[in-house]
Order: sequence, then C-alpha cells, then structure tokens
Amino acid sequence: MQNWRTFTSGTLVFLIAVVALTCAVVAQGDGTLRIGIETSLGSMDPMGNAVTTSLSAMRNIYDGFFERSADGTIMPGLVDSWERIDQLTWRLHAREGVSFHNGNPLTAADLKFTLERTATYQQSEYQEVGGAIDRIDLVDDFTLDVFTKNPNPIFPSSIYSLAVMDQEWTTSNDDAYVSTHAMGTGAYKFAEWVPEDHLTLEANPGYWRGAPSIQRVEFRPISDEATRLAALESGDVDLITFVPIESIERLEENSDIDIIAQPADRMIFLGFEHSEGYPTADLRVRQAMYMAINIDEIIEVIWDGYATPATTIVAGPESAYPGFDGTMDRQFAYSPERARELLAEAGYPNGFEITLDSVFDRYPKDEQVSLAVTTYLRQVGIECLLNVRSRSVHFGEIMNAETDFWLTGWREGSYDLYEAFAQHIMTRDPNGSQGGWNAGWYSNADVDRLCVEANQALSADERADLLKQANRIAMEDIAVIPLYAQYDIYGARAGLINFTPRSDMYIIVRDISFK
Amino acid sequence: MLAYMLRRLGETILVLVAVSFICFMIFQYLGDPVMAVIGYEHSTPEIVARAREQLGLDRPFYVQYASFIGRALRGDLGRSYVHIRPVGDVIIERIPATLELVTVSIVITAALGLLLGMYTAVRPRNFLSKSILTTSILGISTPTFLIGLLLILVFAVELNWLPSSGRGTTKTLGMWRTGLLTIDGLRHLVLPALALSFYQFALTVRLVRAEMLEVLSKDYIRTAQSKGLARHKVVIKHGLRNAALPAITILGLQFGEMLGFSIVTETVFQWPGLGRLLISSIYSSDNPVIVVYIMFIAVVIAVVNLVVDLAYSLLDPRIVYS
Repeated sequence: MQNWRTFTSGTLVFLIAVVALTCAVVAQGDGTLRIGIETSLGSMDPMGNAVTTSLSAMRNIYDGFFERSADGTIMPGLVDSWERIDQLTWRLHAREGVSFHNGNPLTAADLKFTLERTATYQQSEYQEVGGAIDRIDLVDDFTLDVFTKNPNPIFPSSIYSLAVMDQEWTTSNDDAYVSTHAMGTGAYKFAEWVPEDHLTLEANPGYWRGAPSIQRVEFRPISDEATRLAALESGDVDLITFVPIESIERLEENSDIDIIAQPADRMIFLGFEHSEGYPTADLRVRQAMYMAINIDEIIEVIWDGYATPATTIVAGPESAYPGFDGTMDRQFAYSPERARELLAEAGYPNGFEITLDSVFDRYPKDEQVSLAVTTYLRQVGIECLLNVRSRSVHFGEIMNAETDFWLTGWREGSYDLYEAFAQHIMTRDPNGSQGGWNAGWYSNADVDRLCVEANQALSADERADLLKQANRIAMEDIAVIPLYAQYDIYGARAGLINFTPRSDMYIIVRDISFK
Repeated sequence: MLAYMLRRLGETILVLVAVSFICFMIFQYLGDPVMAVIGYEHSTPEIVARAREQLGLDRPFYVQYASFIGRALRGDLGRSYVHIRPVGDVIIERIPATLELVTVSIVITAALGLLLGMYTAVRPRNFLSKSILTTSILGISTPTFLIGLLLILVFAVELNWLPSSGRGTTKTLGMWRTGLLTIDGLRHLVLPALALSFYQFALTVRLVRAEMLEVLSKDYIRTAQSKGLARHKVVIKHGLRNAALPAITILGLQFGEMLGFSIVTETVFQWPGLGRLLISSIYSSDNPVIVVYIMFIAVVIAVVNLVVDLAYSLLDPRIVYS
C-alpha cells in the first residue's frame, strides 16, 4: 500500500517536472522572419508548381527573366534589356556579373536552357511557354534570340513568373535532387526544406541587387486557417497570408497584430453554356441572371467589405493590364424584378432548371459565394441546384467542356487581357490552344476578330485600344458574369516589419525589413 | 505455427491486391491527375492530351493497374506527380514524424489509461474516480479537431506555454528526422500527442475499468486474497494482467489506424506526417502516392494485428495458433 502510494506520487511529480521543463519558453528574435503560408510547397523545382504560393517562395531563391514592380509594370530582371526585332523574334540581353549560389556565372545559355526546359521537362507546368517557342539562338555569351511560332507581343509579360535555373546544376543532378533542392541567383540561398513543415532560406550577401537586410527566412505552411491565425497570435510566426475574414474584426482590436489588406488580382466569375437549346444561350436570360445577383450584398455579408465588384474577367491596376478599361462599369445593378420580366420575355415565366458547378477547396469563400449565387437565382424563379466538388474534379470538367454553368477564378499571370480572353472568351478550338477554358462554347466573331487584330498590332496603344473594344463587346454580350475581386489580407505582428503587399501576391523578402 | 504465419501472409497479400485494385477503380472518378502534373495556368487542351498520353492515363484502368503491378513487382513504385520523386521516398520521409507522434501518444494513453482505469475500478465510489470517468465521456464525444484547436487556444495563444504547430527543431540521424532529441522538438510534440490521445485514453480507461471490475469479481481473485497475497499484488499481478488483454488488443489496432489516418490531428497541428500526405495527395489527385500509401498502411495494420495476436498468445498461454 505504502509502496504504491509512493510510486504514484513519485510518478506524478516526475511527470509534472517533465512538463514544466518542456514548457520553458524558448527565446525568440534571432533575426529570422517566420512567414505562415496557406499551402505547402509540393517541390523545390521552380517549374514544378505554378501555384502562386510556391512561385512566391521560390522567387526569393531564384530571379526571373523579368520582374514586376509592386503595381505590375514589367521591369528588367536577369534580362537587363530587350528588343522585339520582328513579329516573331525577341532579343534578350542577360545581365552580366551575376552568379548562382554555387558560384556558376549566369550566361545566356542558362536563359536558353530554362526556356527550353519548360517544354522538355515532363513535370514542367510551363509547357505552353516552351511549346510556343520555335527555337532559340545564342548570339553571344550574354545575348539570345527567341523565335516564337506565332507573334507574341507580350512575350516578356508571359514569362515573368518563370525562374531562371542553372543549366550545369540542373543537368548534373537527377530529378529527385532538383525537386528537393534549389539553386538560383536570388537574394536568399536554400538552406533546408522539410516538406509540409518549413523551408529555411539564408541571405545571399553577394546578391547582385545588394545584400538583403533580413538574414534568415522561414516559410511555414499552415493550411488550417485557425491554426495559422493561432500561430500569428501566439508569436510562432511573424507574418501570415490569407487571414480568415471572420477574424478580422477581432484582430483589429488586438494591438499586437496589424492587418494589411490589398486589392487582389484574382477575379471570380460565372461561366455558362451558350450553345443552342440552352436557356443561357438567350441574351435576355443571361442578363436576367446578371441582374438577379446582388454583388454588393455578397461583398458586404460574405467578405465584410473586403472585395470589389468586378466588371470583366481581369482585375487590377489599369496600367498593368493592357485592355482593361477602368471607366467601364458593371453591366447591370441588382434588379430582381427586372430579371423576372426578362425571363418571362425570353419564354421562361416559371424559370428553368440549372446546376451551378462549383468548388470548395480552391478559393477563399468559394462555397459560400456559390451558395449565395444559387439563392439569388432561386429568388427570381430559376431552379438552381448547387454541385460543389473538389478542385481536382472541377477544373478538369471545365477544360473538357463538361459543365453548363460554373464558377471559377482567374488571375491573369501575364497581366494581359488578350491572354485571359484567349482562354475564356475566344471561340473554343477543341484541337488547338484557344478557348481552353471556354467550357460554354461562347463564340463572338467580333470579339475574336478584335483580339486577333490586337495581337498583331505593333503599337502598345493600338493593342490596348482594340482589346478595350473586345472587352466592351464581350461584357455587354454577357459572355460571363464577373463577380468580384477579393482582397489579399495579411496579418503581421504589430510594429515588427515594413511590409507592402504586392499585386501578384509574391512575398519578396528582400523588400521587407525589420523595423 | 509456421502454417499459421504463412496463412496470415497469404491473407495480407490478398488484401493488398484487393485494396490496390479498388484504388485504381476509384481513380477514374476522382480528379484528373494530369492537372497535378502540368498545372492549369500554362496548359492548353493539346498539351493536356499529350501529357495524358505520356503518363499512360489514357488507357483503361485495368491496363493501368496491370502495368502498376508489373512495375511494383520489379521494385518500381512509381513517381509522385506533385513531389516529382519516387513514391517510396515520399512516404518513408514522413514516417518518423507520425511514428513519433503516435508512439508518444500511445505511451501516454497506455500509461494513464491503465493507471486510471485500474484506479477507478479499485476505488469506484471515489470523487476522483467519478471525475475521471466524466472526463472520459468528454474525451470520447468531443471531436479531435475541436480538442486540438482548444489545446492550441489555451496553451499556445492564451498562456503562450507551448508552440501552436509544426515539429520545431529536429535532428537527423541518418534517414530518421527526430524531434525527440531537442527541447524544441519535444515541446512541439506535447499538444498534438495530447490531442491524439484524448479519445484513445478515454476509451482505454473505460475498457480497463470494465474488464478490471469483471476480473476482480472472479473466484481466483478471492482465492489469491485468501492466500494472504498483498492487495496490490492481487490487483496488478492477477487482475491487471487479465484485464489488460482487451485493452492491449484495442491499442494495438488503434496504433495501426493512427499511423495511417491521424489526418485530423496532423492537419490541425500542421504535423508533417503520413496523415497530411494522404489528405493532400487525395486533394491533388496524386494517384501514385495514394495507392502505394493505402497498400503500405494495409501492410502496417496487418503486421500490427499479427504482433497483437502473438502477444495475446504470450500473455494467455491457453491460446495456441495452428
């Protein structure tokens, strides 16, 4: 009896001692910036994952051919000057005096290798880039000529997210090594990567733009948004992405945390079937659906005001998007009565059945917005059902034109309206590379013509003008129903860092400094 | 005994074949893995078609299955679409994290569960016993993610005693990345292990208590006591040893299951283990990883079950396998 009591109490004391020891708070503040990001990085291969989160992290280790200023304008990167020689030829001049982290000097051969690898490497997510190039000639050590198969007036813009790789390093290591290590010219060197746990980078003092001020960065994927928030609030991380909207009010009252919100470039919109026989083939029906949706209420209730109504399928500062017309308004205001009238006029006084195909694991609030849309449509008599599924099913169906009514988002990485239109609005060619996302078979000859003309225009102004016309026609024709552009919302520990969000959502640590 | 082992082996192989075949059958209805490989941003229908052909995904599922089995028998388990590395490497890399988490969790569960289960059986009307049992009901009925979030809220955010997520600082011993050798690593283990063990602990306490109560009412206990054996020796040597059997069986089965499917805990705590791997592979249609993973867990569970059965026969000499 006595022995047992001693044994139990002894164990209890031991356990408490262990717990107390392990609870000792570890001192922080060793010059490391810890960033909580919303998804994990699949691989370290900069071409392996063209998802913004991965591109953002990789952009610290690698430099691109070109860069974008925070408002979206194309600037020199590892290509310090460039000319368009003719319709099909771009001459790029590589920056001299730049080295990769292993000491290899950057030459035009590395640029050529990178562009070619986008098509030759089976796992590359930039297949189209390499596929659109006919051949590349090395003029000298620091100059290369890129010959495209078709005229591409926005070639620099179209490859801006591509990271420049070291030809020697990439070819002398096997695929598995390349996808678990990184070798770039960037401000930070790859130190350690534990998948799903953290990516640690160390400052590159020899960086060609000058040594960065923050010495170490740790990207920590925390996919559960409650946990990500808790990590910020408990001080485990210094900066997080995608702060959940519901928490903003509470966080604004927390003086230890700063909320940094910035209008994003990603657009959410609805597409529908335009083929004969479908209700949505009738312009009046599309107009009615447009009017039925109360976008202001969606933004107010679901987004707490942290979104802006969209007028077309791209969003963003006008200067960065040739073709985007900032003076254009939304086509219609919320008017459910007029919507009902239009439906009756079109021959659907009692509405019709339709199913909204949507996704739950791709965009913030995607499911809630889809539900709201369905509800609004039902309120004007349209029997709208909701079919929410995982992104791995959803986007495949869009690309295979297997859906009649869908919600999707788009962030035009090239910042060019033509690119967005070529995928979503221009006539779909099942065998070719046009209208890949035009699952509704929308086809407008005027729009197509204007877009093609724009692409052949040699002057940027002429191009922008033609695209604006195409945009106006397509939007008046309700090719799609643009909904909104969300805000990117970051959370940071108050007074710790100087951080300005970028429109492309990249977190470029060399532009951040501790206060 | 040998015949028994061979039979178990045969059963396991059958399970593996069945499970992998079902996976391939289901893959047709899941998302498109081609997208996992080449992404959406820079793809066109012709690029997608070409990639589909290159990956062999345009063939019927049973052809893909046969090809998979053929390569697997030669030791090639395929390459992950997302991670661009051999599937075996991807899975093996995650084992240490989950194994450490689950082991620590089971140790806590077993120790506390057996101790407190025993206590509540021996002192049933005690206030302490009653509160333990009430807590165990909470443990069984509260969802794991809620327990996890509550632990994070209390211990990380409010009290700032423990970290909220991740494994912290780890040391690598050869191929094994461990969090057990650093204070930081141990601190990161506490909350996820607690969250994971809540449910198991509650179950174990009640199970041990029920078994103990039954055992303690048996004749041989009375005999031992009347022989003059000390009370605690009776309880432990005779009582617990018999009562522990079902508890060990359950814990053993749970070990295999927790190893493969602690998805919720690993997601809440961003634990870079097998559970996280499975769920993110499913979401990104990384089929090569999914099918090998399911087979791997099937093997683990089969082995664990075998070990439990053998342990059973060790603890109870009346049980003989033939």
